[in-house]
Amino acid sequence: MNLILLSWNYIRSKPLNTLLNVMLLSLGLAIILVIMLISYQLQDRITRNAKGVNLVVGAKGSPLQLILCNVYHIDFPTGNIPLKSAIGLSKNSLIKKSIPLALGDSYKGVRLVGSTPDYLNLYEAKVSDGKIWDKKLEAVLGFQAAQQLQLKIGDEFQSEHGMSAGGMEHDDEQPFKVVGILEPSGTVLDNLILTSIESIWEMHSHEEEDHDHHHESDSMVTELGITFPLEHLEEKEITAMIIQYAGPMGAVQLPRLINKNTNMQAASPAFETARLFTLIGVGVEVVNGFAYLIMLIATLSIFIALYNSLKERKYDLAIMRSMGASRKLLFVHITLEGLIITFFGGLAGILVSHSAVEIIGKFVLSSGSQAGVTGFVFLNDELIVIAISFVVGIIASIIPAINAYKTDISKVLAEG
Amino acid sequence: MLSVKNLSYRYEASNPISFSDFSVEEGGKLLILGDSGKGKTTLLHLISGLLKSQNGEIQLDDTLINDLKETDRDHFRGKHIGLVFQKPHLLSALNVLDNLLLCQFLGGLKKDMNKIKSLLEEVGLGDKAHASISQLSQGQAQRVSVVRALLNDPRLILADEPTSSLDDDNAKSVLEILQKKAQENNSVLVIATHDHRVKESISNYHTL
Repeated sequence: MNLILLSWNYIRSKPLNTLLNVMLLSLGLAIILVIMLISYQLQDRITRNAKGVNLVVGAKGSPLQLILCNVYHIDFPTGNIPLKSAIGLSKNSLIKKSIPLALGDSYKGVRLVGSTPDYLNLYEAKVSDGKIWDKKLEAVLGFQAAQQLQLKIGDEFQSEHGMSAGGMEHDDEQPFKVVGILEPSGTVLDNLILTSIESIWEMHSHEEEDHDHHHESDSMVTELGITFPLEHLEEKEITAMIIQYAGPMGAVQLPRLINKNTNMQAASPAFETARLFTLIGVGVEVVNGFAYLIMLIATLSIFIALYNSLKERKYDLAIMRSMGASRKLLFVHITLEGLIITFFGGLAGILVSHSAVEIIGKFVLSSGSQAGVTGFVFLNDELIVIAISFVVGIIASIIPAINAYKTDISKVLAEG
Repeated sequence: MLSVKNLSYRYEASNPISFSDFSVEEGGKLLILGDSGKGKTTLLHLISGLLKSQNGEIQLDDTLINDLKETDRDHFRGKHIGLVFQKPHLLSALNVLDNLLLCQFLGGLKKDMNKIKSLLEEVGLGDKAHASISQLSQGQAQRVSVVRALLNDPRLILADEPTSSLDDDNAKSVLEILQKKAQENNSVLVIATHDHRVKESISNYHTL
């Protein structure tokens, strides 16, 4: 027999009460943990996807939409910008690197992104199988995209116009050919099909194809990593351009310069995602507040259970004293009872939350949605939960424990 | 040896109760007799250190119980004094065995299963070690509480009306085991009672 076993026996003698208290506490903790785990993973992912992207330049419209579309590939494009303007801007000395993007097509709901190899280098992506495209109509698949579409090297597919599944097929066109598959990178690349900008143009310019061929050989130029006939400079468009600053002055001057002096708009992913988080943050606060309310109720419920049980147990406590237990020992005995209940509450909270996050990651935020949420991530912040359960246990049991400490044993025993 | 000298106790806002001196030799037995309200229970609580006396002296062997601090009194009681009450007051959250193991734990003694088993055998409850308290009859429960009082080989056994709610058979068996164990351990046995069945078996008495 020892003190923990003694307290445990008392807990066991009231299984339903214990179950209720453990469930209440674990529910409150699980809500907090689920929010913590999901928002951590989403933020981590969002940060990783925006890594190295200082500024996105695209057509005028909502800056948040520009970022969501061109960095996270979840919203639709704001429009296109003239290639010539993009090239002109990229010559600015405040810019270290410009990466062009051409969006608008997809295959079975997976987005097809036209860019240059610089875009892969931005995320330090490695090719696990095959190679990067070097000809028109060659495509490289992100890890998840390859799994989801069940495509392998050498397979061909017909892209569709539009960004959601069931768009109109470019059926009179040549198909794309898969030439490479990327290693998983934990970034947005995992869920994309990547190809060259020239390939995207090819899909959309078939009407002018005859016209194209006449001049192809005589005046080709390469700008922004794209090779095209010089005379197309005026008419070609891209969706957006990712910009890396050459130095801190870029952050100060470039957005103003672009937004004021050109027909394009510049948006900063850092600023826009911060704005987005402030919006989501209100909802998160409300849910968290609700969770803390549940935990307050759990604390109260454990307190009431202990407090009431003391009335029935005053003889038990007096008898323990008569058997040699000191006041302090009874204090510890009651406190331990609260702590054991909250320990199980904490444990259950951790189990429930991780299972819930895993289920949410698997079935709700499934692979296509870029979330990549899993229940098998453990954060240091979860130690806070253990601390919270500990504090709840102490708060709930302190008054009953003091009462146990103060029991007038002689009086109780004389009554009985 | 137990001796009580010049002892008095005063509950708040009432007249002090004085106790006349007495002493019991090692291995001796003593009945405390007196009508209710004379302070039998108070005396037993004072001797066991559950109450702290304002005046007088209580000595068990070499220890002045009334001089000990509260925590020391608790430890001393757990180790050297066995208490039996009118009702068994077993802890209902624990089974018979765990109640007795708790007694060894709180008395600061090592776990000794053999001793528990043999004492339970002696009171005829050898098969009840794993029974829950609610399964015991009143008489069985009181016998377990006697085992609890005797378990740590106390120097002093204090019993407060141990038989008054028992039938003749159970009363007899409780009295027998108390006297037998007191004799074996050469410890002092003090019983406060007004039960005539007890008076028949112990002749030495002190009236309040």
